[in-house]
Amino acid sequence: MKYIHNTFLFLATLLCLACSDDFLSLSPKDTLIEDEFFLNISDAEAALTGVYATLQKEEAFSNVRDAADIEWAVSGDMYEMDGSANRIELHSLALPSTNTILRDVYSAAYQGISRANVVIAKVVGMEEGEEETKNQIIAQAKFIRALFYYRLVTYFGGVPLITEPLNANSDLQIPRATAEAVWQQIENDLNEAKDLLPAIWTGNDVGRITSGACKALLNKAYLWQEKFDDVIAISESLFEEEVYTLLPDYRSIFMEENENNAEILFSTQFREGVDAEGNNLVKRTAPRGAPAEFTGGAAWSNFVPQQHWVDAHETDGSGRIIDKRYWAAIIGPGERHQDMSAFVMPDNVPAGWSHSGYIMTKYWQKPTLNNSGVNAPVIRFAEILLNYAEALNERDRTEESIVQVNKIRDRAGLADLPLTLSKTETLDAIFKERRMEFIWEPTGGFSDLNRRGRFLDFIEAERPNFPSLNVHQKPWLQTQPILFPIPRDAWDRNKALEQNPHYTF
Amino acid sequence: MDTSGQPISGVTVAAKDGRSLGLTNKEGIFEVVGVNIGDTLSFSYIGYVPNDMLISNLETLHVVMTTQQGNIDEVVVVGYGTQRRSEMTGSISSVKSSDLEKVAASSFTSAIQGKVPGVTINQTTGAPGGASSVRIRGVGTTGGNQPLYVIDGFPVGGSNIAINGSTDNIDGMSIVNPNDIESIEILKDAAAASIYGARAANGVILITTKRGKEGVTSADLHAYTGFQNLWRQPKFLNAEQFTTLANELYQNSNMATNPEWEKPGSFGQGTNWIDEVFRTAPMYNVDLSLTGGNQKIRNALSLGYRDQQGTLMETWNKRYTGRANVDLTATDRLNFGGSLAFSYIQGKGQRNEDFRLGIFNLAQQFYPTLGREDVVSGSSAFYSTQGDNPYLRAKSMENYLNNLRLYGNAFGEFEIVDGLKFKSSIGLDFISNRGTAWQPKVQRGFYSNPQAVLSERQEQGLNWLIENTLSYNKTFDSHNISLIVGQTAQKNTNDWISITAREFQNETIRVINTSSESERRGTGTGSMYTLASYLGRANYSFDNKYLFSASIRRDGSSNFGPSYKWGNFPSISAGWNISEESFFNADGAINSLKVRASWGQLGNDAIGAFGYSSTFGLGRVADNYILGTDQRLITGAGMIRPGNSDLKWETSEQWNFGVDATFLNRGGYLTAEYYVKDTRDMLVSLPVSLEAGFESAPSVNGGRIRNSGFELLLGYGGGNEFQYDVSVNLSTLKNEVLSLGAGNPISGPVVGFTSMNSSYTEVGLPIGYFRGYVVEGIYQSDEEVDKTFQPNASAGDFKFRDVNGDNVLSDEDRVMLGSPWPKLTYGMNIDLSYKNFDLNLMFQGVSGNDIFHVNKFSTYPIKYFGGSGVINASADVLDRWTPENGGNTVPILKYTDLNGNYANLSSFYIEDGSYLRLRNFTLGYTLPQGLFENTNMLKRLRVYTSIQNLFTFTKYSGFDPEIGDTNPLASGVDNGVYPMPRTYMFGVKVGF
Repeated sequence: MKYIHNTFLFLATLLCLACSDDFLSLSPKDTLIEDEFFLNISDAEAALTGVYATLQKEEAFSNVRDAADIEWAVSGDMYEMDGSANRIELHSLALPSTNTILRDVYSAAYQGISRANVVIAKVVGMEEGEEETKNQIIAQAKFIRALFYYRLVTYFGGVPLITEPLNANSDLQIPRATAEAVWQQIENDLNEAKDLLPAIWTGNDVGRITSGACKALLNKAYLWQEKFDDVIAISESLFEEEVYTLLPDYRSIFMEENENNAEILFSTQFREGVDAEGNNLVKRTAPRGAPAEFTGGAAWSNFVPQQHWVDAHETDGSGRIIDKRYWAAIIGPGERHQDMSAFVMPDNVPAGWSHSGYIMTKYWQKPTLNNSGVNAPVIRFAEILLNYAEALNERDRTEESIVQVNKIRDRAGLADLPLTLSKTETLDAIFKERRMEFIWEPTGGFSDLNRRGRFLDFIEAERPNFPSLNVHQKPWLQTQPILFPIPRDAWDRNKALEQNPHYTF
Repeated sequence: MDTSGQPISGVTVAAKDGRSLGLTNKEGIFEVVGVNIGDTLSFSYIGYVPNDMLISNLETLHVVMTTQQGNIDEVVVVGYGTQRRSEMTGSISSVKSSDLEKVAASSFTSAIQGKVPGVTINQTTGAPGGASSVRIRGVGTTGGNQPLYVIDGFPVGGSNIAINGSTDNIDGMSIVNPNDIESIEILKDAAAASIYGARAANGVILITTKRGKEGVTSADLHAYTGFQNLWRQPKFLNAEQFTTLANELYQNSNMATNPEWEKPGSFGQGTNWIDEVFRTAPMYNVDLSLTGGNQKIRNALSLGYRDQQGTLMETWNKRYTGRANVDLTATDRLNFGGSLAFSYIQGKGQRNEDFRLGIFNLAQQFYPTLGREDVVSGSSAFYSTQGDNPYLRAKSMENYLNNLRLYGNAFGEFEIVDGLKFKSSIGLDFISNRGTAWQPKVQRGFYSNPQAVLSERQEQGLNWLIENTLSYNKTFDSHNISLIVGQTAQKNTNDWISITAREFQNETIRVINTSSESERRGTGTGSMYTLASYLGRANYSFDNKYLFSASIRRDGSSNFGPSYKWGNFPSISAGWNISEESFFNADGAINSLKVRASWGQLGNDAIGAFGYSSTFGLGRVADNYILGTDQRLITGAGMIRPGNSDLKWETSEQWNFGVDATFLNRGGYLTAEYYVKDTRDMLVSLPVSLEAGFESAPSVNGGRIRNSGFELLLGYGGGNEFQYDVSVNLSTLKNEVLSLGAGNPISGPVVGFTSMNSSYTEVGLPIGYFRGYVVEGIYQSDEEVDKTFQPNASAGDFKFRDVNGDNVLSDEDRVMLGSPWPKLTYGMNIDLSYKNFDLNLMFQGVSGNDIFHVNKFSTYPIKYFGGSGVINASADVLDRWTPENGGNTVPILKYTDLNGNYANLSSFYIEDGSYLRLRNFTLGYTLPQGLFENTNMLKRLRVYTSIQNLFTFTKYSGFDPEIGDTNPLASGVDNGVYPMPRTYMFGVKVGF
């Protein structure tokens, strides 16, 4: 009896000792907490990879929301097939502040900026690691930060300018900075970065940001601000690197086998497969309802080129298009796919495949089961040349400008323009080339027209449904440049924001 | 016997003059001599209403006794002990097994719906075994708001069980077979619940299972079977109506109509997809229980099997349960005991509440012009390319669950000296959860799945708990003292792995090994939680008149950061048994009267783990990138959420005032209470500015919410040959957000692919209310439209109200349209018995709540807003506005909704969700005792028939007004919730 007593008491006391503070201090099984992170260079590199990862979102730089929903549908050269409410709000120019695409683009940009800020601040403060490696990490993060700010300022105007990491105790009611301040930040970041990065990466680093990419983005930034001399200077600095050229064959720029080629200054990297490191570019461009052996099974043809855009290509005497870019990137009724010779578009293209009868095939190169590994070209050399040409033209160096334009035309198999064109004719020619060159890429459409104040005239002349757009009842389209509304969701959480003119929250 | 046919032993039989004539024996049988026809016998026993019966024949007299609900001598289970109801100062509601038995359900949460004032229970889905959301005294937090469940003293994880790939969740408490439950106590106020400290802020539910009793041996078999079907089917357009309206829609939009639908008259009725997808579903349930015991050992064993099909095709639930409870009296000072129970649940579920591909949603949208096995093959200009045939889809997708739960505890109790006891107990809870989701490779019209995919998930968890308590009870003179101190430690661990495999050569063999090796991907992780506590409580009563109680609990939780590791949760309460006073007239109408009051603080530690530290994710899809000439995957890292080192628990401070009374010879009882519950330091994941770029927002303790209300329970029973017992309960709730800290109002999550938020939370109004525009009517002509106010409107569109009068339609014109929280919940229970028949009616209702009928976004416009094409609609759309017919309720049918008739959250979507249900109707018959006198085996036999949800009165236009959700920021949202069925049952109870 006593024995039972004693063992019982003993066990009970033992159990009482089970408590101590260590018992209550746990670490998560699958994440790191702050004290355990950013200790060495490989942490910094992993964090930089995390910054690159923010580019892959559809609302960031994967040529979906920007290239299709905004650039080319708003300019009217592409037709939106689904009748999705949020896309209609964009291309009908209704542009309500509740639009979910604009909200996602805004939010994705700040996620990228936030990660870049963390990397820049933490790496600057790191003790370990070689200077050169650390500088390269910081420079790449600065480029991505500049790229996202470029996105924000060209769409929305001045936005809150955040360059330090924020935490739970920061004041998050941040007002908008002026567009000038944002541009200045972009220029600072890119100018610092371009000197710290190599001109070429090799081996496992191919796809990273180069000094040329920094110069290219500077070229675009200066052009937007109409700093034409700076455009000329930075372009020539880029040409001196002798790294980038125009590829002789247009279609080869986009082929998956030819990724990161000499024309690509910067593209977002993807890989096919179930890892979710692929993109939806094939699904969104291939014709919905076409045989799965060519599309891979899921195809939605969300946007298709419009008839009037196709008709704008240069033709020969018999009406056949001579612009090689058409034959390299588009298929129409009765035409054979550029890579899959067994696939021929029917003469009567079903309305489900394409409203206009045309399909854009830059990204759809083979049947794709899950996600496509085609890299999304963000900036390529052709754009730099055309920007350079525009700046030369503005500085009254029109002949030199036309020479650059002709390089693009040569590649497209078109006749050279005479060197005697006037300044306005040259500008028109530059914009004409952009329109044919960059379909479904994040440039050459709405944004370029908008920055030069050409958008309203363009859509009046070109968009067939222009009368139904009721442009005159939309005062927000009368500003120069046209700005998108600050998203309602952003204002819900940050009351320090002010809305762009003529929009309400 | 009692009202459910169980015999009662020890009932005193007395003559009219009070002379005792004997007692009933174990079988409830009595014998008296020396009485005549016309005499009256009186029967009395503690806990039952005294019964006087007239002798009508000298052979047999059948006597039924009804329980006294407000029995002040009844023993109530409280946290870490028991108390007599007359001594209680806290607010505790009890439900006994006899009440639980009346509603046949797989989980007791449905059985107590509408029975307990202050407790609001809503089914979140009508799927078999479907989960309930249980809220005690309102909603005090935006986070976890379900109560703490304690089974036989052991806190058990009660979270709902999800079926991999489906939205049909199974109720977490269905692991306990209701047939095994002796009683349920709901601890509502701080005095009762604060002994559970940091987990008690949402209330505590104590479940006590049946244990063996000394000298009672019984074996019972209870079996019932039945079938369920939809009690209401709102109408949808038939094929002719659909094609007519679809054509009208395209014509209104100046678009070509579908040549296939040129002749609406030729289509006739077409297919009724609700009929195709719903069916009458059978169910069976068998429970066997055995108890026995003597002075040394007592035990109770039980087994149960339940098989319930769902009214929606290809959904079902099977459950096997078993339990063994043992109590051992080793010596007069040493006791041991233990229990072990298992539950094995298998289920098949479907995906619902999804506008694009939910089965129930598709059944409301799919084309009546198509037959049961047809697929969509027309132009995407007319047909939605995102949907699927619901019948074929439900048949082809398989989502299974196998959930094994094994839990038990063991204790030893030693009486050191008289009144001083030491008790040590250990509990274990083991869970193994296996989910399988399969989808074949398929091309059904526009829907295609290019690779067959199998997803297998295995989850395992083990929780252990150790408790040591020292208690002291002493009564001397008129003083009664009861003290308890204790220490507990608990650890929960949980791990899971999941594999997704694609591309199967042979789809009949569905295991990971037969998939394509390069297409397999795995994920997995785990979590842990620990809690350490100290507790103490003191009860003191003087002369059973003046009652005092105080308790404190100190909890340290692994969820708390280093700055605030331990929290203290005290409470005090007092009561006065007025009826014990000498000045109180005990022979009057009121037999007992007590007033009581309590105050205390409870905590909520469900604040997520590691919120105090910034966390970085490694190697997730959102962190990885591709680089290199061979395009390699590079693992990356990114911050998930910045930390808040000041993070601490939420505190709920409660006041409670109550009155308990019994009256009219203990036949009637009353409990009335008033409470105020303030939650402060409420965790808010503040809607952080988008510009901060956080992947997840940090949590801060910023908010304060107040819940307050009245509760009333009133009942009366009595009768002789004809027995009756009626009880009514009602409770009111007022919920108000007092503060959100420095934060802005919080918008609830967006519903599906709409751009509407499910709720809005701001200071001064209830949490999670519905906010939007007010629809004044429909513009009848283009001239009526105010183009400055609504530039995109034209004839047939909704006219919104300009609330602030500035002639601009903006956020300022959005107002409170309703709230999901009922202002009044009530129930009524009527038990009648006459001779061998018994009848039970149970009503349950809510009032003052609204439902966000967001399903209309999908079932009214005819145009499919997730993409192109049109879909079927509710028959209510026949009232749409046309230039000829006008109309003021449904807008003009159009392809593009430029005015935002459907895109905007407005009063169009908010409906009154009040309802009154006849939840249960049961008619039973107990075979006369006499039939069994000569048998050795059979002692009792009762048969009954029962209908659940016989009537529902409601103004709601959807399938069912019971829309529950465990997320308080998305409650009362009907986006195609699997509707509740009406159930018809027939059952038998046999006693051996």
